[in-house]
Amino acid sequence: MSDINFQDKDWLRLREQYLKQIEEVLTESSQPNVESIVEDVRGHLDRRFAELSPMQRTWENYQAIITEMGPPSEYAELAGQKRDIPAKKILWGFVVIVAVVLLLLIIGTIVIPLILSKKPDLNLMDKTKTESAPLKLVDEQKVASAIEAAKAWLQLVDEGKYDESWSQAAGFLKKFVSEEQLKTSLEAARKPLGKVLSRKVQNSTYTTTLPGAPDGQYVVIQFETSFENKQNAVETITPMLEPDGQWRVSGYYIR
Amino acid sequence: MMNLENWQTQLRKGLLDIVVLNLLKRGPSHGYEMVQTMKRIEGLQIREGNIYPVLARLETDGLVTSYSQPSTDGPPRKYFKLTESGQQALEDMNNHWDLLLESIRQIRKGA
Repeated sequence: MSDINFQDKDWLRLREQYLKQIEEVLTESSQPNVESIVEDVRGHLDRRFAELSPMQRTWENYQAIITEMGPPSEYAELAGQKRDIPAKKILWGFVVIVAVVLLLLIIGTIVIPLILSKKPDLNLMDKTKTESAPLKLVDEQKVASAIEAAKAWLQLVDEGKYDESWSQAAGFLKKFVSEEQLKTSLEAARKPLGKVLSRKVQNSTYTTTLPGAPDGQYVVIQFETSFENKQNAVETITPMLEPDGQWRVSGYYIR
Repeated sequence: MMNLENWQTQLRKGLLDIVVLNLLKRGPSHGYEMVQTMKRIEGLQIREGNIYPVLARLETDGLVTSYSQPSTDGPPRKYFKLTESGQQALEDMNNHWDLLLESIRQIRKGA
């Protein structure tokens, strides 16, 4: 996340805002599959964003993508009928509400006055600060390891060692793409571009979910790459953390 | 006065099920690909997000199933394919659609 530039942050904010609206609309109308629909839309938006060249990454274009997706209200309309809520569930809902109200009353009349009568525990506040820091550090370490793995894998591809790039790829990729298929795809994509002249990390994002992929630990990395025959290319590469603790590439895409 | 654009939009949305199922009859596909295909067909240009709630509903109804497949040009993709009951439903829908078209044609001829 540390390499995300200002424009990408704008996009992420807009994307999340839109996804949140969809989630709210679908949840309000009691639709099933809310999570699945939101993830599918997220994947679609990410692809649209990936199609933009660095010059096209403007606020106007981001808004245009969101507009083309359609208003959130349409998602509920197209998702179909509301789920019927059986009478039993309504009764249980009422019981739960009564229980929550009673709990709030107890907290308001007994617990809060007790807390207010004590001095604030400053050590506890300090602990909260120090507990959140290592988490961020762990993510950063993971991103750094994933970038190293991505660079090593890209070097194999740069050197035309396509067979080796397959054997070094993540098991998830190897399960669906044969060695021959990967070799053919890489040759078709990379040979016309010529040698790599420069490559630097444009952004990197740690995530535990990716559309269409099992939950896991992934880092989506974008490299700004200059090839002999294509100056402004963007390579998107997605290493994933495998059970043996190694980061291996599960996806690669050049634009 | 009638709002033609509004009518067209509603009609398009109403026909999304049959359009999506017919696209999947050609073979498994993913949402993004189906949207791109529809964009190229006159009269079928939908808002891009519209397809996802439709696919989710068709999957809940058992007419399509989904599976993920790694892609060499990006993150893994979620592919959808017709189920057996989806194929049967599509056949019924297509027959009904043909019937509707024929009925409208007859009315327009003044029969």
